[in-house]
Amino acid sequence: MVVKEKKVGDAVVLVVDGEINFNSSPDFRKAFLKVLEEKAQKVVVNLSSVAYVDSSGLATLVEAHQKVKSSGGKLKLTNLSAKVKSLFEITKLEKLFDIQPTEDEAVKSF
Amino acid sequence: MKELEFEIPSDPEYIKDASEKVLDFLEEMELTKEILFDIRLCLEEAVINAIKYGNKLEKAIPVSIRVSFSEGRLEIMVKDCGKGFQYSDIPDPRSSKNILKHGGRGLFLIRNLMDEVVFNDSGNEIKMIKSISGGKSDGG
Repeated sequence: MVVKEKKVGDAVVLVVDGEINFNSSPDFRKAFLKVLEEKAQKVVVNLSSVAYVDSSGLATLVEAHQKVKSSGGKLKLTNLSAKVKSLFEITKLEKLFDIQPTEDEAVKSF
Repeated sequence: MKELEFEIPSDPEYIKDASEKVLDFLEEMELTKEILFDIRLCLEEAVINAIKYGNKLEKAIPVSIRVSFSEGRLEIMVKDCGKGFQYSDIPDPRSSKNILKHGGRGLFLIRNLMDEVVFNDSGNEIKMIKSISGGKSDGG
């Protein structure tokens, strides 16, 4: 899994490529902790190239959401595949997260 | 009846090897990507629980995996060498008091994505059953 960070206006977008699973979620965690250290307040996680997320991945996304929130910022998810989105629906995490269809819409919705 | 049985060490590096082996075994059934996603996720969640909570990440202790398919019924068994756990005590991860917690979603996903989930009495073996229709599902 590779996480690329980019700035779009005053938002930070993390573009994830690969799976967020038991073995790779610590790498994703490092990436969002780095963004938090940079005091980012508007964070978008683009999951367009993430075909697989397991419960460890979901837990790590919840942690990212909470850490950004507790530092006064907002985190949004975008471009979820139908299957990944279904995991958010089953676990009711869709109610916790702001899930936007596209990165553009996510950035504009802050 | 098609059957596959193997063991892996209690090392997270082997999680994907296990699911790839099972998905290769199921390949000729021409299942949809959606069903294969569910099977992979449930298998990996069960294997992670076995490695982490059952065998306490002791690499030398094996996790046993058995997959069988017959007459549209897929059974996946994952067994560890631990003392088992009280699977009935797992709280609902969707409730407001648990939604932010780290654990509890793996087994919940398994219960949602499989048709039937059975534990043995000691709680160190999980059997996950899914009815498969369509594709070449008679299993040969």
